[in-house]
Amino acid sequence: MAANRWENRVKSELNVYLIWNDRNLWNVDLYSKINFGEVIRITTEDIDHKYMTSGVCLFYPTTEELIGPLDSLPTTEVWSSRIPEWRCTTGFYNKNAQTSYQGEIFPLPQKANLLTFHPFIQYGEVDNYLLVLNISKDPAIKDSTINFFNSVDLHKKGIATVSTNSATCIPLNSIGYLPTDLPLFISPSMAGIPFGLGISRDGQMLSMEHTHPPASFVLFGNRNAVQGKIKKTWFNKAGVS
Amino acid sequence: MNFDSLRRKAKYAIFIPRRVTKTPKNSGSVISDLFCLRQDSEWKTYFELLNIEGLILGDNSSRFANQAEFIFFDNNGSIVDSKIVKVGEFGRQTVLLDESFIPNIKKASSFSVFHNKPRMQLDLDGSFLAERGYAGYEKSNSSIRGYVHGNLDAVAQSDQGIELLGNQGIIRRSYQVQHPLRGPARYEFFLTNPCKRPSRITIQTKGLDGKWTDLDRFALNPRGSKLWAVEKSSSEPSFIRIKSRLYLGRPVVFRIAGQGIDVFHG
Repeated sequence: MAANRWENRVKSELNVYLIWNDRNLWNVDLYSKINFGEVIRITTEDIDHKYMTSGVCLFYPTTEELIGPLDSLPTTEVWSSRIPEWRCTTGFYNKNAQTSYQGEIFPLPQKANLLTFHPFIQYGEVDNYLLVLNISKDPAIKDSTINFFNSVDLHKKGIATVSTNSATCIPLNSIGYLPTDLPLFISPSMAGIPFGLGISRDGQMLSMEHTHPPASFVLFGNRNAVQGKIKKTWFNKAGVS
Repeated sequence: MNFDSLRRKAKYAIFIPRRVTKTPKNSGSVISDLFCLRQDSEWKTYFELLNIEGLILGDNSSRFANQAEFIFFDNNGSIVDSKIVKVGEFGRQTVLLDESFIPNIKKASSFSVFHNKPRMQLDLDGSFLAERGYAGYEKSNSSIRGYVHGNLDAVAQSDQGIELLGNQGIIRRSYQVQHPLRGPARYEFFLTNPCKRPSRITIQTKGLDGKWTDLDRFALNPRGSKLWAVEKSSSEPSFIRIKSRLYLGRPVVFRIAGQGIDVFHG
């Protein structure tokens, strides 16, 4: 559904495909068909465990017929909504609570990096995680590293492995950030969408939001150029290459 | 170019002839969102204050400590109060926005955070320093906070004062909240008007017959805001859309069920 009424409607029946990564290929299964105005909710309880092998399963609605396996993700977009962007509400839930976030994803470039600050780790009876989501057109799953720093003194507090075409969940409590620390995360060779996930130990609440890329510190002008400079400075200071 | 593409371009020209948000007139401006403030016997609001200048410069130590001004607005968009605070003494500064922060905070419903103009000459490539950071919301019985980042680059501040950056058109349009409402839960939608003219808002819901019907109508002053609530008892999905002249009538959504809150962009 387009977010704004001015967009053209797609009134034809759509195929909703599950696309998942298995042995370095994009496999495809038709999950269902959906008509204009219909709503379907897909949860991990509804699909076989095989679809979640890499931690990520894509739901791809299209008017076209897809025959897998694919050696690259399909590029045709059913919706052309850009102003505002089409949004997909995705989320996690348990028996008591749910948390929603903006879940649409476009394939990330293969030669890229990640730098982000995480200002909302929570304290008390809560377990914090960093969730790094990566999808690239190429189905190969490649490992990279993510480095954990304190942004004030650039003390390195840990390192973990992250992978392309995967969702990597990293516990943060054990890294030992203090409430006045601003965690800095750097991955030198893999882009990703980072999320901060908090789960209350009594299971009564979940909390999730993505952390910003450095471009979010400015608006208008050449934000990409500013982001490039910010990344270069922090990469150099942190000694990550 | 096919017919659909031409049709889309024509509709775009009619509905969105200008940018969603305006570039600030003054090159020395700094930008902030209009953040939702929830402060009563049930709710607490926190703001994660970071030293944006230091983060741009690659130094988050206290060497680049600076100041930022919190400005609080009421439902009608009038300024309730403001407070200047130090930024950058710590890596992360979690600010509880309650009566100890400003005594008359209960009159406020939104706030902006304007960082001081950077003391160093920053090469921002024509960009403007912006606060689009994270507000955390805690309900009295919730065990942790729900966080959401800035929703809209709404307001700029410079030596010339405060400038609203939102655009609105002549033709009313609908913003479709993408999240299907499912109960039992209480949903609260926080809406702001980032434009310099008042805006009439109509909240609509989609019935089982597929038709949209009005649930409520109200006006929002420039910088004004409203928290609009609806109880959803059924687990059957339903939809909400917001009809107005705003280019981007996107709300922050609070879903309250049991002890949990779920806060996100609509």
